Amino acid sequence: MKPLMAYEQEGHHHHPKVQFPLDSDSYKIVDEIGIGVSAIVYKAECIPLNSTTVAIKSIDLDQFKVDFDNIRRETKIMTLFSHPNILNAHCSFTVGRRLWVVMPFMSGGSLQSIISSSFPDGLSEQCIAIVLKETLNALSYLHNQGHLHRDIKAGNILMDSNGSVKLADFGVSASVYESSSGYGSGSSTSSSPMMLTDMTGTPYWMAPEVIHSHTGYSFKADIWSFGITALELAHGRPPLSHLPPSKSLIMKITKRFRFSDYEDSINKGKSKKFSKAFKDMVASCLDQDPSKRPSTDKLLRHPFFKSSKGSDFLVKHVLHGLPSVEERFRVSKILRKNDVDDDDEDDVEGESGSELVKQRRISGWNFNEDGFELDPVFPTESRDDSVVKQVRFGGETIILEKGTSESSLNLNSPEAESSLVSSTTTPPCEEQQTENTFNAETMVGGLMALKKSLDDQRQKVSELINLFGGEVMNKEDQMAQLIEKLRMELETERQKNFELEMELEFLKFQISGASNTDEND
Amino acid sequence: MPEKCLGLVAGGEASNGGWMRGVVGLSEEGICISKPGGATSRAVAQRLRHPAAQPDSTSTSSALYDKSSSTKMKGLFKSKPRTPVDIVRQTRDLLSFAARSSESRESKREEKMAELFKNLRELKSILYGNSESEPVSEACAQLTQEFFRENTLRLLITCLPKLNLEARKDATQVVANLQRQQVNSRLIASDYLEANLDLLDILIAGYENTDMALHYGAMLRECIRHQTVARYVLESQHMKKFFDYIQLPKFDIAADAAATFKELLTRHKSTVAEFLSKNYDWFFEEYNSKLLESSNYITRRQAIKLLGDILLDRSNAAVMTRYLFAAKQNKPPDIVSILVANKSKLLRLFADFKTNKEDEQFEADKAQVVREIAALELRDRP
Repeated sequence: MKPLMAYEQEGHHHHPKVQFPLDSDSYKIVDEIGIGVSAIVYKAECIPLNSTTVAIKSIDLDQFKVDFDNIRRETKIMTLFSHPNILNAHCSFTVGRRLWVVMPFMSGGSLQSIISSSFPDGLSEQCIAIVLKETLNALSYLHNQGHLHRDIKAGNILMDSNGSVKLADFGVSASVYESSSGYGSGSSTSSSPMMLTDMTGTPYWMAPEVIHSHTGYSFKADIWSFGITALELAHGRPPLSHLPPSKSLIMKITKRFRFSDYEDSINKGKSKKFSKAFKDMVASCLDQDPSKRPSTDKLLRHPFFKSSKGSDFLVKHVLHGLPSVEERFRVSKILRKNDVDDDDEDDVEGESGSELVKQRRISGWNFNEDGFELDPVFPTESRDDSVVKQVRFGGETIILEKGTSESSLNLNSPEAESSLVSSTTTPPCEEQQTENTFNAETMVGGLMALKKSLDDQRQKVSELINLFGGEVMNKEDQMAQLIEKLRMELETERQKNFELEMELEFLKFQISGASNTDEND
Repeated sequence: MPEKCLGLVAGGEASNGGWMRGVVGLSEEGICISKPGGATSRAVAQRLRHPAAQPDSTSTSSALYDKSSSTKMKGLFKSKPRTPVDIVRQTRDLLSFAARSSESRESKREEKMAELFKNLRELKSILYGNSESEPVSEACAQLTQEFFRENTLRLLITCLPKLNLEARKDATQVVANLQRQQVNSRLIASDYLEANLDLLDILIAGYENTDMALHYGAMLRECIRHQTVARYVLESQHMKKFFDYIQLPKFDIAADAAATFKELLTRHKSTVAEFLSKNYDWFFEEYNSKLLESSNYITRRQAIKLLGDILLDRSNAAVMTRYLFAAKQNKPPDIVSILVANKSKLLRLFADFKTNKEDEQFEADKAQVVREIAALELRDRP
């Protein structure tokens, strides 16, 4: 309440908003920093505004077959929501068949990208508290506006160079005030207000009631995802992400969640200790019964957030020495390509390079040891069906030659399009050296070295790609899939066409009958 | 409103505040009919109905409420609990003040504006409930009745630019909700608007104001749920402006205008059919030249989709016939190609029409249309 009022007073009246130009010519694309199924995110400069750095999400409108209602809502939210912890849009306009949403550039990228590049074992508890508290402020604002975010996860939490944290991506968010069932149908007595029923979000973060959505869900679904995000930040990946994100499996998983049991294993913890307050906070969010989960406002008063530090702390402990967003994205792209070359490619991958959530193999960190145990599935069992990707820097790879051969640089794009995809894309790994715990310093060192010799690396990378024919092979595979898909579609269309022709014949027959009658008259 | 959440335990019984206690027994209806996003949940409806159905159980039921109400009484309402009617009245007074006070001349202005924002949020909270509680039908009805008893809506709409962003959003949601509230099974919002149709002029002109467009646009879309209001807008001079509004460079505003435009042309079937037949010439001339031939890809795509929706609506069969005739005679290549491109879809949808055996005229129209479509096909072939 208090912070809400504080910025409300500032309002929009006092400092008029800078008007961003509404034509693509005014922007100079600098770099690609994220990619999704239907959108690409660029780092760009707005030339007329002193070349202010911005992020541009370029959405392919052809992907939206039915109507643009979802996009309309998303852009509306990004225009009308005003909160220091929510990523706003400067403006949005169409460019040919694409929609450009111009946003502030968050130079730190997403928390998912940050942890997977430099903190594969998770952030420190102090850092987590800051990030989560800021996120919670945003969520509280959203909920008080009658909005659910529906896709809370580290990949949608962004950090700026000053350590400020913003919640992003309202592609699947929804208002309980104007849910589609109520809208247009006048009065509907059948369903409760404040309840939604469609299943949306990203599986690992989804609350049980969202998955079993027959009863509907509401604000507390975001609280569940918030709890999962806490675990993600603490461990470097969401719980159970070594399992494929299929719905049926998730259904099993959610039933197996026994957060009430987690205290039992606290004492077994060895590698990473978490405070009682943290565990208590997370456990409250992950209650199977939505009504028992705390509201955002109640969570904000939880002891865990009491002594949380300021954003400077994040600058010092998280952002310092972190490779740039574009660098991380570039590396991740290269890694993906190399990875595609691996023989034992898993088919989970494919078109959904989208989400780019690529985690280290579970065995890289000890899920069972720290009291946040969710499930007895052990990473080593999941070699074949694992969706967790270990990107290897084996002999084939010339990047980061030294010392980091096993480190995974699985990067996520900062404003990546996670909302529009539903599955994480993480091919399996092999030759995992379980002993090799990730070394952040080595990683940073490697990345800094990479940065320095950028031009050199670029060349090597191109050579590498050519050498492995990565791009070509990749494309061929994609083309083959595409052709197959198109063939299926063609078949369906043929069928439809045939039916239509039949209809037409029938109608023609009727018409000739009718016109004959007319003539006779 | 966030304060209302404080002190409430997750999963605790819903409570809307002190006034609810007096209301529980009254709400025999149980269900608040016109809530966007659905009516009061069954669970709550049952809770509300229960005491009325079984008077004996009232005491236990109110005890249940007492628990949460008493905690809330302290924090939220302090010494003087206000009824929904009180809040509406106070809001109206504050709006009148806001309407006449010019910038910051009066010393208490800031204070009063803050009070106004708080009231708007409370109105919203009553109408929608909040994250911890459901709305109560009786309270909604009282609020609605008082709101439209005087010129609150006019004041709110005209004062909207003077509010801050949060208050504007609250106001918009309140106005939207009120359009669906029934009092004694009447939509009194409709009656009010019918007598105050000039308010629609303000709302529509909002599309020309970047800061107000999304707020006024959302209100407008709710208001045209009422058929008389939709008819007024359709037949007004504003209708022509939509062809420009939906191509405004700002996507969020253009998309909002497009959604309203679509609603106007699809919601009230008979009104739309009447409008189209009366205004056929200028409307389709504009539609074809400005929308179907727009340089903007989204505009074209939306226009084609909407054209299909309009023409293929059974109530517009006569219009469709006329359109296809015109398309054939005038042969604007773009229209023909659009029709040809959508031919299979048109035919399929057309075949799906439910034919009413008694409606000979319709059958004739349909046959005519199919003939036209078939002709298009023939001509299309080299």
